Amino acid sequence: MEEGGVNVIDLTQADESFVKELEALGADELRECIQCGKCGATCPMALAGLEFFIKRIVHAANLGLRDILLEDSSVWGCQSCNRCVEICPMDVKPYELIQAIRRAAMKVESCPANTYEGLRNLYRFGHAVYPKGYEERRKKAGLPEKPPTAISYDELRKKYQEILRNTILEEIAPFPLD
Amino acid sequence: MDKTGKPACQICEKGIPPKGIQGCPADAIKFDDKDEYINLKVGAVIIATGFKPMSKHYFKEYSPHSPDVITSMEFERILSATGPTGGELKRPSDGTKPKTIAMVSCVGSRDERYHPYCSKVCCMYMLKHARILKEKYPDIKLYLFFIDVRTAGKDFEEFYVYTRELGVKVIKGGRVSSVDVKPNGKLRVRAFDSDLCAPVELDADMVVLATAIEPPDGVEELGSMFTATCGREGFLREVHTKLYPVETQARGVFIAGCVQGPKDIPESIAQARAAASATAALVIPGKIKFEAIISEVDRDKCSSCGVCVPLCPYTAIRIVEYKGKEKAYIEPALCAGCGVCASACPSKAIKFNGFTTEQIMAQIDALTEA
Amino acid sequence: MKKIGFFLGCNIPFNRPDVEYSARYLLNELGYEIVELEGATCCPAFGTMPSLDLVGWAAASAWNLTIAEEKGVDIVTGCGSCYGSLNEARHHMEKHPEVKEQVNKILSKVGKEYKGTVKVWNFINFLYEDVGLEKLKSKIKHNLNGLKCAVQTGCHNLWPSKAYPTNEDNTFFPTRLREICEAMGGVAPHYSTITDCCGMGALRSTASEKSLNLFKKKLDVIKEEIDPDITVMGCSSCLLQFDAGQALLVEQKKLNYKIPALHIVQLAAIAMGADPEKATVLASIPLNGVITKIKGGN
Ligand SMILES: Cc1cc2nc3c(=O)[nH]c(=O)nc-3n(C[C@H](O)[C@H](O)[C@H](O)COP(=O)(O)OP(=O)(O)OC[C@H]3O[C@@H](n4cnc5c(N)ncnc54)[C@H](O)[C@@H]3O)c2cc1C
Ligand code: SF4
Ligand code: SF4
Ligand code: SF4
Ligand code: SF4
Ligand code: SF4
Ligand code: SF4
Repeated sequence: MEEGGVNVIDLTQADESFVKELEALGADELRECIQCGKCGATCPMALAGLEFFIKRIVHAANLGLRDILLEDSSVWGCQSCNRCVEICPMDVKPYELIQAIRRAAMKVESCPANTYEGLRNLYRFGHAVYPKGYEERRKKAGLPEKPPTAISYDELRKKYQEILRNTILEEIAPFPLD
Repeated sequence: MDKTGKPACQICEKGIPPKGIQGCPADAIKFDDKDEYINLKVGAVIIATGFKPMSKHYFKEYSPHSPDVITSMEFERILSATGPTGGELKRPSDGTKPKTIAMVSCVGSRDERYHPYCSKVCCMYMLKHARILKEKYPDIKLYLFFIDVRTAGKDFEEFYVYTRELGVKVIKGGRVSSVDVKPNGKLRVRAFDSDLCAPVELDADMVVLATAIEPPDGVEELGSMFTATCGREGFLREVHTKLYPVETQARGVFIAGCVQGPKDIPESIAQARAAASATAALVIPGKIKFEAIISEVDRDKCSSCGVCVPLCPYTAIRIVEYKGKEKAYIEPALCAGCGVCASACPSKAIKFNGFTTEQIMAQIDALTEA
Repeated sequence: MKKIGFFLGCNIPFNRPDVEYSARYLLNELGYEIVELEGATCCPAFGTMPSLDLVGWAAASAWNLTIAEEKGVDIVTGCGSCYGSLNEARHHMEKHPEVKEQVNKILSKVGKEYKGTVKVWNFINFLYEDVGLEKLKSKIKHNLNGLKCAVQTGCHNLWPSKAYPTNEDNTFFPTRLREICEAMGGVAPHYSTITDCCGMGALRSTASEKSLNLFKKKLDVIKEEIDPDITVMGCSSCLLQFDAGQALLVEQKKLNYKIPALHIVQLAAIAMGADPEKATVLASIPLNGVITKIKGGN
């Protein structure tokens, strides 16, 4: 919503093709939602007070409010806790909708910067979380400087990278995959 | 005892001597009674075996292990003057009077995992419970959690508004998300409140779950004894929602009340009276009319193979003695004229009146000529 | 000797290697041979490949799963997200053979094949079922001596239950981690926010302050309802929130108490005689009182 703007959501901007896109991206039970609200007080996004949280997101998605959903960063705050999936009485699998919206957002490069950072780390090091100074921490715990993961095996890491290059990452990554 | 696998508590028989509670003082229960089979010959049957309220144990997110989380049916008993507490409001865990009660709608109804249908009566009885409580205990705090409040019907919306005026708090747009037990015995209820646009939480002393109205146990077997069938949700099926609401596909077998689907008492009674009238119309004249379009066995052609007997959906075919041999016989009062047997009979011994081979061939000829 | 593949993930080896140390100590004490999953990578984390598409996610997970399959071992992990991501990917491939087929097409480029034979454990279920509480008890050197524990199972260790090979009887009233703490001589009461999300993860990186406030709400309830000596985690991400996140709240003067936090493998390792210094070297909230209490037992 624009700063100082009028607080009305224009339903005519709704785009049915967005609903279909989301269904194709994994949210295939989306339309089953009856807005019962059960997910609305269990979703950490709702409890933490994010502008958009699962109940609202499902409704906005069903209305086809593409711009609102892609511009808002709330979907990136989803904890993937799956509690919504566990309790939804209509088996909407709300978390799969979050994933679908993220997938749609990635296609138009509408995601927070740290998403790319995680992907870059994943590709380069095999680890999305790759914090500085870990060698020191490992020594303190009496462990070898590097763990026996892909970070210690160049050949294996290259194979892993080849796998990633054969996925959708190849199309989406805004950084070179070499 | 048989159903739960646990021994019966026998309070009604022996009472609880240490607490000075006697068994049934009116001596109204015959404890040595035995099952009896009574054979009756009747012209019609009305099935009105009602419903079963769903158990709370399916709903793990609502702390079913807590004795203070109960179903509305149990709550109905607590409120009843003839119930276990003599109508006094007490919570099961410690017998204290709850100060705050949360009521939860649509538990197991409107729920694909259990029952997709709306149980129809719970919104109204939740309001009824709230009203009874509030009139009796004006200080009690009542929170009613609904998805939406369904009050369709004569005088119902007025009842709802009146209940609100009593100070009952209504939360909408929030099927309850969770009920958690606190170490001090309180129950923390969380739900979304669409009107506040926020999640809300509440510490309650007792939580009442409006669990779904389910088809009673064994209704399918019961129905099949009378060749009445169940619909997708397991309730007995009427022939036609609008035109034949109390008739089943078996002639002379009628249904009424919740065994046909969730409904309240006025509707159950209206159906019961309709079923009674339909029964009377069938039985009182002393004779019944058959449909013309039914099947008949030419017993001289019948080879007694028995193929047709299990095929008939209306159990109209029996094997009876004819000229010293076992032959198929179709009971005209039961045959619904579906034609299944006629097309299956390998000896072409069954004539389907109105659709005989000659008649069908003549129709085909007429059509192909034109 | 029973073998088990130890899946490290990212947070444990890089942020909290003291948890890795403890897990290794624990598995050794319990008589398992640790099989290193050489070349293993990130599970992958939910904000990465799973947010791009299903096949990419499944392929990245399958890389890890096949390492264990090739070595003929099951996997145990101390991170809830790893447990979730690997099991969900496994579940998707089992449910959708076409996804598995596409994944195997990708894997074949590096000469691998995912069969679907590997089981992925978290430490809670592993200790509860594969080890068993009796055996766990028998290996205890320092009884927890009535240490009061508030347990944090962690969302990913519970849901989506359909993706998990084993789980709590009631995932909204988890008891396994409580039982594990009690088997070691601790006291682990239920508290009403036991299944509340701690706020670590995507929420923390997207809305840090809101995430910490959510965590504070949970911690306040823990303090008020059971006032424990320690909080015990089933998940390494939760540990980051309960330990470093809590320290941050203290630093920001939003919290005026401190409750030490350990991963269950750290607590169990100490109870089985691990050097507490090494096992908890990276903890931000001081543990002194807790160690003394444990050492006071026998
Ligand atoms: C908590 C609660 C509160 C309610 N409050 C209200 C209210 O305030 N007002 C209202 O209008 N409606 C209310 N209802 C709905 C009401 O209970 C039903 O509409 C009504 O009971 C339906 O009547 P019925 O005769 O069809 O079934 P039931 O009342 O269930 O009666 C069926 C009877 O058949 C017997 N039976 C079952 N199987 C057999 C068998 N094989 N052989 C012989 N007998 C058998 C049963 O024992 C039972 O006595 C409430 C429902 C619930 C759950
Ligand atoms: S719980 Fe399911 S049906 Fe209810 S509002 Fe959420 S997504 Fe919709
Ligand atoms: S998985 Fe995401 S959307 Fe679902 S309850 Fe958890 S945080 Fe909310
Ligand atoms: S009657 Fe009301 S409480 Fe009952 S299922 Fe329908 S909407 Fe829910
Ligand atoms: S009056 Fe009609 S539209 Fe309004 S709530 Fe009742 S049934 Fe629905
Ligand atoms: S199928 Fe035909 S031949 Fe066989 S028993 Fe029936 S009527 Fe007789
Ligand atoms: S026509 Fe149909 S109803 Fe009549 S006897 Fe044959 S199978 Fe039964």
